[in-house]
Amino acid sequence: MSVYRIGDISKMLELTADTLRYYEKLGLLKKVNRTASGIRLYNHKDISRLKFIKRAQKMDFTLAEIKDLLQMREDPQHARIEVRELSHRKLAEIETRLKDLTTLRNELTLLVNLCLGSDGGCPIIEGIDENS
Amino acid sequence: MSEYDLKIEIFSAPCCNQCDKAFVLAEKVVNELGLPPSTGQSITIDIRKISVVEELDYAVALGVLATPSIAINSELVFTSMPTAKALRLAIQSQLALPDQEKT
Repeated sequence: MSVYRIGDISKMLELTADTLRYYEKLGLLKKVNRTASGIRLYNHKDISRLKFIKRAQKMDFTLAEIKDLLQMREDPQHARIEVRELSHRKLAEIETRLKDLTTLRNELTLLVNLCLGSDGGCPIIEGIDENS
Repeated sequence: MSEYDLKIEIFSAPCCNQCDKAFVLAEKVVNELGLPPSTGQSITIDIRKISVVEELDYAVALGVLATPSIAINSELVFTSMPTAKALRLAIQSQLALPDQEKT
């Protein structure tokens, strides 16, 4: 099984070494394995957990919420009721955001297709100018 | 006497040459179908061009991703320029009319 040093993980996941140490201090990461000389060695489970943390942060989840969700992730059958409820709420938030992103994607797809089809000028810019 | 509505919306954009052709095609097909039919049914026909730039939300909600697109009775039916035959069949289907080949 591959293991990685903090520098490798930092580059791989675009997280600073300080952030990685901070996550461990907060308990978002389980205690990372170390060599005899104290060098952290991250395994694939740590990486998976860190990727989850990154995704959740992009959704503007707080670190406290992420910590709870990680519990759910680890042991969904025995998660506390509050944690289950939090997971449901966060799932609903994600569904709403997905819907908004899909609409935005479709709007931009349509506008991009319009520009491709136009010989002279960009109908998007002209349309915006006319409306403003 | 029954009453139907036929609403054909051509989703178009500025400088979209095909869009003008789509509008002309829709008018031609409706004329060739001889609507309203001689069955005594009253049909209100509405063929209109919808600018996707001015009505972007509506276009996207209907699923329009490119122009010309054609909706019949608020349902997106064509996502590109259709043939006359395809448009005729789609209109007949909406109005539950039998297929009439142009003579």
